[in-house]
Amino acid sequence: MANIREYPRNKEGSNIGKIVVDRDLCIAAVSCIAVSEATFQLDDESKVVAIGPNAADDTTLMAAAESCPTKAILLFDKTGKQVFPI
Amino acid sequence: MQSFRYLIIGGGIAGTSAAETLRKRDSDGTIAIVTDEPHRLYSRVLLSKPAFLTGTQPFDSVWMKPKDWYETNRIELFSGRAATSLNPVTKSLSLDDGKTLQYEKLLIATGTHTREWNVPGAEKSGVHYLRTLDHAKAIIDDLQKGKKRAVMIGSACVTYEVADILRSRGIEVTEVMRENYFWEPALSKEEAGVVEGRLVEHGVTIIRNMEVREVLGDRDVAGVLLKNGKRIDCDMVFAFIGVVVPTDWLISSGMKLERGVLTNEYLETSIPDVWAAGDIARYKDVILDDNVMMGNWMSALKQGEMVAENMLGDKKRFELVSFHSSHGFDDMISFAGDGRAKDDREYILRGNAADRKLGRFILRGGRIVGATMVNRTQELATIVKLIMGHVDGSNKKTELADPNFDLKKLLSV
Repeated sequence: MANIREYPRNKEGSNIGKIVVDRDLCIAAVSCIAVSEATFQLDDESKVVAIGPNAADDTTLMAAAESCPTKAILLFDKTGKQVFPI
Repeated sequence: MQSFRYLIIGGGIAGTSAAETLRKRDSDGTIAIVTDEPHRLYSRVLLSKPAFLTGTQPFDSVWMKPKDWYETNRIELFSGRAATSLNPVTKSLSLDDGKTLQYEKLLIATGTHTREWNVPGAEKSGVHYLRTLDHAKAIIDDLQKGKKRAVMIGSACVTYEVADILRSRGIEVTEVMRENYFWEPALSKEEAGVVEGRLVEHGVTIIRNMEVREVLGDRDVAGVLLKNGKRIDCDMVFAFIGVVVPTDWLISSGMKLERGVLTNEYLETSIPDVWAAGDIARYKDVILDDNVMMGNWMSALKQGEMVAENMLGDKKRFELVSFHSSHGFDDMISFAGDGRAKDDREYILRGNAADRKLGRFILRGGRIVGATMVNRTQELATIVKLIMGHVDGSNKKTELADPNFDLKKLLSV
């Protein structure tokens, strides 16, 4: 079982309903934090956690997920369909 | 002759993030990227990760941009082409296919090249490097063929990560290193002891102060002959012997070079309208007050973005305390700031080897300029701030050495 953490998102007007971080894949390259500090931070194990799942708009959140060099951030829409990476 | 407003040499993360930033702010300036690889941008850091090399993560997850991204953004990609010379007077660049390209603004972001292993037999099938996607493909192929015995040369991040992957697949691993201990000199002997302990625990055989004299076999690798005459049978050899910084082609341009392309804090080279970014740039680091190269993903990405702003006419200084981590065998090894082993450095060990949580501070003239850590990542963020804040550690050595001392207390000083 992959070591994943799920972060529900209920931001008004957003198409993204859930952020998932695969902690096995996360290598703390922190490119996602550079894109959105309000959404992502490192925890004590040097793995990324979503501290503010509703903080960023969809474009920024997508850019943060796309910037990850190990594809450790997965995004799902409100119906539960994976929208990144696809 | 083709001419571009922005010409970028290097299609890795530094060059591509520069192109992306340029396009965001200049919607009609012509942009081209020249890369000696046959691929579009991919994730170099993924190449040594278990999920990718063993195939549990889809191969296509390696791509960082969709196929049509270059066309959509009107970025011309010259792939499989290397630059051979730069003429700063005519502002032109020669390529290895005889083509000449002209530029208004030029970015050099070639990264580094694989150091060729030149022992006899190194050309045999089954001898692997790991810097490019094609290298990774060859390793994936060999793993799928079910090869069983590996000899690894070198002792740093990639060796460590790949050793873990090989052992997890039950492949026999013998580590042959020229160094006295694993990861020398990037880690202290004490920290390396923790790493080596874990390697041995997982069945890796370590042979130190040793080199390979010859790779044996016909077409395929059958073994290696060591300089002490001992033979090790194997079907794969991983030559992780480091990289070279490709600057020879720039000598005729008169550019200032110093085991890399020398730049100021704005990432400007000594030649007007020419910048450098990523692993090739030896830049003036305003936080460390020193000229440094930082070969990691985040640093290359941020340099690419920032250098593009300066190519567009801004005057921004590059300011980042760089850090990166390597994962393997349930341990996490982290490096922050300037980790170079130099004579004027002072080292303060923190923690102990017994509980496998050991790190060290690196001081220059009393100031904390870097740190290395084995399983102490919870302190990484604070240490980055200590380096950024120019914190003087010279009168805090006892505290720095005490693993129970809360480093955050030094931040307010």
